[in-house]
Amino acid sequence: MRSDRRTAILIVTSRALSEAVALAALAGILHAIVLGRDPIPMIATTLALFGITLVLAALLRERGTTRQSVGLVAVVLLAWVAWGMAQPARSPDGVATIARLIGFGILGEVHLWRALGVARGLQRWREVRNDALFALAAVVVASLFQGPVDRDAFTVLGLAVACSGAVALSLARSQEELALSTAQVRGRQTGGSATGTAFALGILAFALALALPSLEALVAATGRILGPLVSDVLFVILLPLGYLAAYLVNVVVWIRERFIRRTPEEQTEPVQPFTPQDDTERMRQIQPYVYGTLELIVAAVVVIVALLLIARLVQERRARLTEGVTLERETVDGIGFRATLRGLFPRGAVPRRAPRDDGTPAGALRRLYWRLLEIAERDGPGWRAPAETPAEHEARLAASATRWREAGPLVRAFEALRYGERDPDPATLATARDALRRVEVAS
Amino acid sequence: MLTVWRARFGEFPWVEVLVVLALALFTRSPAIIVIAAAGLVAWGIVEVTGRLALVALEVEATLEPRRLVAGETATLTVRVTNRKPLPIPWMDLSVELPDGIAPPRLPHGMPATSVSASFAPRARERVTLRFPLEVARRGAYVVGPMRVRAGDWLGFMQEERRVAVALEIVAHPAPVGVRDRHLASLRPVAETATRRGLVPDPLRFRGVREYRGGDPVKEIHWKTTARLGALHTKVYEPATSLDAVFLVNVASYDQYWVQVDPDGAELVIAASAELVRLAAEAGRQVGLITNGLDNLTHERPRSALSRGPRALTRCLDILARLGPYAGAAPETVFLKERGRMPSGATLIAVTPNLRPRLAAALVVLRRSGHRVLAIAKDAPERRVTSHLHAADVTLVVLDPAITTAEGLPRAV
Repeated sequence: MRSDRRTAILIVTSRALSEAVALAALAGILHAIVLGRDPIPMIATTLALFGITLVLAALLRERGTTRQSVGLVAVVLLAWVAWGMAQPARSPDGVATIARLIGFGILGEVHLWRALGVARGLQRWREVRNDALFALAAVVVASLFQGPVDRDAFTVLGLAVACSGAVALSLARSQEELALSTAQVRGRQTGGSATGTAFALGILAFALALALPSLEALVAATGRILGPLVSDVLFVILLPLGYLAAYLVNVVVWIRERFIRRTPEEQTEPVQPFTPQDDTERMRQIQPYVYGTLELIVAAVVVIVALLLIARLVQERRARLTEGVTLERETVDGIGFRATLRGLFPRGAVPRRAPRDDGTPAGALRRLYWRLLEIAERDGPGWRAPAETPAEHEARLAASATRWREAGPLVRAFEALRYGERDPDPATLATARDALRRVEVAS
Repeated sequence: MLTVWRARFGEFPWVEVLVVLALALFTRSPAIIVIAAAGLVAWGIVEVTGRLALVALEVEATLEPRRLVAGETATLTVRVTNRKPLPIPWMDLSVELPDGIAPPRLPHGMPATSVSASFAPRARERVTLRFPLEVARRGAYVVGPMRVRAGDWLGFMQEERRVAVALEIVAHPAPVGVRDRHLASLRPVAETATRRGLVPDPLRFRGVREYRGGDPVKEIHWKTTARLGALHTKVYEPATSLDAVFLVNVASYDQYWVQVDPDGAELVIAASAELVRLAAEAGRQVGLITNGLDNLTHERPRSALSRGPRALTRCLDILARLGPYAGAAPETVFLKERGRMPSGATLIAVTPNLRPRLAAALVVLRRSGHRVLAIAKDAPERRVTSHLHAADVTLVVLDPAITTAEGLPRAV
């Protein structure tokens, strides 16, 4: 099905991205530890690893195997070791070189193991979660690491992993819960259009990684030409935001002056009226804040896009039904958002309080009836409903099992007390007590 | 403590998010700030959508038909209405089934203890699911309760609700071929003509005969008397009551609490149901007394002598709901109920076997003014047969070859 294929592609892409980010971050740390000179470029490395992981996973699924073969291990290890040794280092000694060899070899083995994991448990929610957490943890550790690491890229990579992970988690859970068996969640170990698309995506990503330095140079050259122009345009566009920020600051200052009394030393000179040159100068001064707002807007857009994407994805129409079962959908009236959000804070159930035994026959009878209700809740059809009379509740009990018929005298006595306001005499109380005992014995 | 938090937040890594948040506050690293913010946003989404998953969700179920014949298929209809403006990414619904009810085409290896479906209700949408259920065996069953499970948008939390549904369904026994072997009643209520009876029915004029001393004067046929010149008396057809009280025994052994022949008990119940149906179709009043127990209430049911579709339904329901075990010995129950039987009513005892004590009870009933027809699955001992014959108790042995043959003509 087309929806299943799209879902599979999205999940496998997200998992490959998580693995690539994690491995790139670990490679960056390792490179810094073993006396690496320049930091490994994270974006390009991530793109390359993303492509390789996708290709590897697609090839493994195409072959229908999920085990490491000697040839595959040798190729991947050699590639990683060669790439690691090709990185520039600061006068490496023998220990650093051996450490680099072993470290990148281990990373190669990890890469192969994770690629196999992607190929094996394609759409498992738990593995999607583990991949995303592993990648985010690697990013955090790499960001904290003191050494030549390309930290600037981690902001974008972290955000990308978080967004793609959220989408993949949502899809994987739906896929798991709407599937009938684990085998369907894993998918068949053979090739298909989804595997083909993943392979193509992997090749594209790898090519992009190779071309990234040239692209960066092109973008930098273009930026040098268009940068000032774009900067001015952005400045004009975002100027109202600057005024808005200034207005908010003035409001805060006014509130502060209005409600917080200041000492005479804190009194300042009255502000002189601004000239147009002053205005321009002030705008130049707050320009960094305006660009900070731009970043916030970008982040908010990313969050909104992610939410919209999740909302669209949860418009799920798939259903897994056994043979012969039919499903129909129809639109109905509903409640609004406010009423829905009220459901976040449900009213707590009023705790039941047992009647107080005040030593009177009435108090004793109430305690007996309370005990009957407790037994009914524990072993029978349940507590008496608010709209149910004791007799109706007794009928419900008796309909469920014959042993509840023993409770008749107790219920009659309680009704006489509750509705007839007749205090029970000792004989009635004894009968009620016997009735409860019989119910307890039968229970 | 950890379990409580796990139940509260599901599988969400809240500890890790808090650690990253603390790191972000201390280090002010942009990447860590972004990850911490993403973690907080994800936590919010999980918390809100998880807690709202089952809010404004209505689940109701119906089962049609509520009465059917064993082997037929009922339809369980479940309506799930999501009234909130948020979709539910996945929902799992399962309805518990009692032993004896199963989906018609059960997937290989799946137990028939429940039917389930997984789907995704959209915002303000009602999903109607129809499950065909095959009721293979006679009995009274309760379908339910239901279990509804859903989760948050990212899959970390799961909410489950148990919907208390108890849908009762009664499967009547599958029809078997039996002959309607009714005996005329000795009740002094004239309802139909018979060859022998206590009461001549004045509405059923048969003819005249010569006058005999002692004939009532009001019965003299004056026109014939005038024409023939001699006294003639009117003659009427004798009449009897149309009734049948069925005494159904499900015990197949002297120790009534031991069931050694469940198939025999089933055959007895199925034959009784068919005989009751035939009797009702013939316009007779029917009643039912049994030593069996209701499968759901565990009480010993009975139906008073009555006529019409409600009486028939009541009797068939009793037979359908009978469990395989008896609550008392048949002779004890039948003799205990003697005082509540209409005087002179025809008793039809249907039993897996006729042991001496039950035969003796039937003889007692015969002597107390009832006509008794004993229908047994197994042929009784010779002395029991002789005893019954001597006491004018009619005995019929069910022939399995006949009772299981379909399309058997129902001879009166």
